[in-house]
Amino acid sequence: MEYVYEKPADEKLYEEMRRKSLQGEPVKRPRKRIRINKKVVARNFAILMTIITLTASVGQLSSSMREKIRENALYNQYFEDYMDEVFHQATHHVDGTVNDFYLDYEMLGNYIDNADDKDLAISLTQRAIESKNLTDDEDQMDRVLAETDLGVDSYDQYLSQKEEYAGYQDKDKFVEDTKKKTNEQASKSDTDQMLEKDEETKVESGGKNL
Amino acid sequence: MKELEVIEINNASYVVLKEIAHNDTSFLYLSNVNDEEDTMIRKTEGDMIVPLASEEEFEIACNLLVKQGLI
Repeated sequence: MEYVYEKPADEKLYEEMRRKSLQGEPVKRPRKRIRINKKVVARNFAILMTIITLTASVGQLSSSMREKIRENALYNQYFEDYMDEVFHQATHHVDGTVNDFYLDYEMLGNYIDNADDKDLAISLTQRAIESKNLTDDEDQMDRVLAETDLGVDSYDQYLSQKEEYAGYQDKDKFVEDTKKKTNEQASKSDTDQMLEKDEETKVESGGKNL
Repeated sequence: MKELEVIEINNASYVVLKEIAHNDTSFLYLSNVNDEEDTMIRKTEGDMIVPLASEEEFEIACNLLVKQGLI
């Protein structure tokens, strides 16, 4: 499930909305309801907000302020609701248990990757993560942003760590084992380097003897 | 899925994306179910939904929505 934000609106759409709003016949309010996909609702609301910010009096605001208004409205009205679903999926394993250690960065990365307006998608994702207290760790946020550029080293690291973590039920044990493994690798690497150096020294001294 | 109110206007279905109360009326912000770029604002008068009365009212309705966006 990806949220695809589409940039619409130009002055023509605004004029059309203004004209339609002022014309037509009264109708009885039917109080009928239908069910609509949340991402469609979020997109339509974003389009409406973009058109509205072209209103003459609002149009005098700076473009960054208009962007802020649109982003705020989108987030407050619908995006938060939508992100609840995204984060539910991103923090739950397939079997329903909560994955509180890793967010599914692949999924968030895909969502941002598929958004036409990447800056808005990144900003809303960042805001959703902060508001949900999913992390107080700047490194994690950096990793989310890193996912927007798929193929970077951190993405591969994330995938391998995710695979390893899948076998653990205990977060602390995972952290402890990972630290242990990292230390062992570091120590092995030091030993290898020392052995290599030793070999080089032997070869060098052998060469001298010849 | 989200449940929204739907209104038929000129043979097209519009969902109410937002309703904002103002004085003794409510402004309804509508979006065409089949055409996301087709949007309009209407207001309530009792049980009826009517077009906006003037340019000024249209400006007020737009600004109300923008103000909500700032909150």
